[in-house]
Amino acid sequence: MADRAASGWAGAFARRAPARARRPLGPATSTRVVRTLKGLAGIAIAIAIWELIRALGVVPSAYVPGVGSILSAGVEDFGSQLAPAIGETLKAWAVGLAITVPAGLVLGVAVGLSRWADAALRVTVEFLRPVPSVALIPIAVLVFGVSLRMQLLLIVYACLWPVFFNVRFAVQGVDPLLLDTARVAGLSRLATIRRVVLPSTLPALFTGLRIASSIALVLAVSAELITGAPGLGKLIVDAQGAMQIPLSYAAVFVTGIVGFLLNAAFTALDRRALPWTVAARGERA
Amino acid sequence: MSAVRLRGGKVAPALLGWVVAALLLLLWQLYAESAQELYLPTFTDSAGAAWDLLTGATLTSDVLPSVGRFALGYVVGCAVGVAVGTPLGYLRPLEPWVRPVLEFLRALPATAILPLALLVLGANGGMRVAVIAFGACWPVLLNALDGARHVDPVLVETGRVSGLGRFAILRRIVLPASLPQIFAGLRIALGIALIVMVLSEMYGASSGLGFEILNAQRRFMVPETYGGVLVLGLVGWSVSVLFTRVERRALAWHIGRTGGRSGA
Amino acid sequence: MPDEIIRVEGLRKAFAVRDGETLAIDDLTIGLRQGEFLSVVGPSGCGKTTLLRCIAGLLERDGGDVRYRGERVRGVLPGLQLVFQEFNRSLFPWLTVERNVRFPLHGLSRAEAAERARHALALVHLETFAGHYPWQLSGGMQQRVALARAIAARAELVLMDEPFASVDAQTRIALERVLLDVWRELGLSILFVTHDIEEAILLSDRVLVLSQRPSRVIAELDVDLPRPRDQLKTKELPRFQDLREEIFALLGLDRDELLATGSPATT
Repeated sequence: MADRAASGWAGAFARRAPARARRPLGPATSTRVVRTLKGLAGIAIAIAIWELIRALGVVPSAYVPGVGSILSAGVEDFGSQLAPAIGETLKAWAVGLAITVPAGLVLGVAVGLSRWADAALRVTVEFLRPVPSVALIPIAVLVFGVSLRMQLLLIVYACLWPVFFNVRFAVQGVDPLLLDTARVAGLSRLATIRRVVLPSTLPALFTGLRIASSIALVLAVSAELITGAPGLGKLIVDAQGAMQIPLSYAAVFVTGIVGFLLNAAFTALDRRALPWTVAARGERA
Repeated sequence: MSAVRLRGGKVAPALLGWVVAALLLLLWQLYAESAQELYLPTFTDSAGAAWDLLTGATLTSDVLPSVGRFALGYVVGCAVGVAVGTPLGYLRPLEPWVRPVLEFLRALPATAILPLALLVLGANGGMRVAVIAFGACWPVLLNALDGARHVDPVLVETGRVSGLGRFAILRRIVLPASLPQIFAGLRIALGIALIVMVLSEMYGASSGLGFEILNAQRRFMVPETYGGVLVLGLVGWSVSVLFTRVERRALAWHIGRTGGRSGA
Repeated sequence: MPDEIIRVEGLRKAFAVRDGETLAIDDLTIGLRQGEFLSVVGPSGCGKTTLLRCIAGLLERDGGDVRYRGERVRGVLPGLQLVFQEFNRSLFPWLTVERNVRFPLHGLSRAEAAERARHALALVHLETFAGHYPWQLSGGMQQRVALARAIAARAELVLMDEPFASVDAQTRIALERVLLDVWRELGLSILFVTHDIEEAILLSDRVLVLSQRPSRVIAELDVDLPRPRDQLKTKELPRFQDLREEIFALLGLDRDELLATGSPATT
């Protein structure tokens, strides 16, 4: 006797409303499993679409290899080509971040705490910030030639901003109530910074770190593409030059996977280290 | 600590900023003149080269086409991102299926597909626009998706009770409600589009701002290299300012509501 | 006896939970007459909100009929407006007050819609705030905007879900007065869900008392108090006190069990 009252989209929506009312604590694992399965199915569908596009013959199939040949090229040359390339790219990425993050943190805190420093640097920062980092590739090559330091110059320049801005924003936004509490408790300025300001900046720092990580990867790979510095970018270009098209695609794919894993790792780190803040934050880049 | 207004009102701090910037420029100029390093031309030489770029034949042959490709790629990418992301987010059942693929595509540096795009699509402006759009659309798509997912159900119910059909709800309720999140994605996409535009002109290109810069560097025409970078900086800066203006108008209602501390 | 504008017969609604189903509403029958002000009171969690949502068509029913002017209805009820408890979430933050009030008015010319909105805002004494944004208004004012929206839509039927629960006592008095004025002037039919027994008696023509979950109607009281009602004088009438005592008893609020267990036990 049930009235199929609400239908279609509206029905899909209506069925969610009771879900909110009852708050199931239930088997969260099975939902996770279902989600993963759906995600995997989605990937399978994407692969199918790829093959379909191939079959349609819109572009010469030599230039769009099948998923199978990409996979086999990837597996075959993993040890000899892909792994070392990943290593080179990640080296630049890691060193770059290792330099940038502490620098961004210190700068962000210093500028955040000092209104005069903020004012003094504001104009300069506003003009430097929008310069696209890849535009500096030629300058970096001029200064350092094709080398790791060239990549580092680029990465540090580009990644400084997200970290710096996020930290500065957080420092400026520290709840005055917390600072008052510290003053009443008799903390010195240094101690206040260490025990109140710095912890307050952690969430923003993590967000900035996540953004910086992806920027660093883009820059490392892009620099390799143009200059031939060793790494995934160089592999993509070289493989194509040697007409090893499937390998080139495999390298592109691996680059995406690396980016995906790095992002996932930082998001997970974020969530584990600072679970109480994840929901409340916005992105600042 | 910075909640209090600086002494001197608003003029003095802004002035200080300009003074410091000018001082830094002066420092650059003096150092470059005295040190005579190959890779560091003076500011005046660089600015001169930038001026030439903007006023010479290169304006129409390189600068404007670059900006045009960037703008087109950006707009197309963002439009696709919003048009696909919003319904996807609202249609909750589909989301778990597409999420891994979308996250992968977003994590992939768009510049990495340039060599293959060149191969498949050929070396032309259309290819570059396509790659720019590719780079720009994913952050927008994912942000639109998440924004639509988290629209307050009470708002949607108000729409249903007012007799709105599902497309009208999407257009008049879900979309405006997700606008803050969409704009966050749009800003990220702006930076990405610029990067991809420049890089697309450094790889397998024969014209454009990026090409001019790289070309100058390869010929050791150093002031021209810096000049090109300055022009790019100008483009980036103007685009950013324009974006902020648009964002402020579009999100005026949101800024008032949240006191201005969320969003870009 | 005026016709019934809404008739709910044998309504049944269950929710799926971790290990089975829980019945929220079981065999509920309600009739709302044209132009009537009908209140529904019941213990917390008995499913009053669910009831409204089912009637409005926002939730699927598991059993029973909803008839609008005698015709069986599927889906969202036509000619209906719903005033939510969470009023601040039901107003669109990107629209001005006036635009919010105009929102349900499609198919009208711009001038007509603007006129209706203005009239509705005047009825709730908010004409001067037409250009403001919701976040600039207080809670009570936002709820008035929601009410104005219902008025502008010329809804004959207004379902109200504990609309004054989240406002302070003084604002509530003002809102109750506005509501009664508007109800009388426009001849609306109102189904009003509340946990506040005095409010229910003060405002309504009839009060329905619901049981604990699964809800059924356990009593129906005619509120034969004179109109227009007054927040001070009406509440002092002996008949008012009687009605209040009766409903208290029905809800088990007069017994000590309430203090011991924290929730009233009802039949």
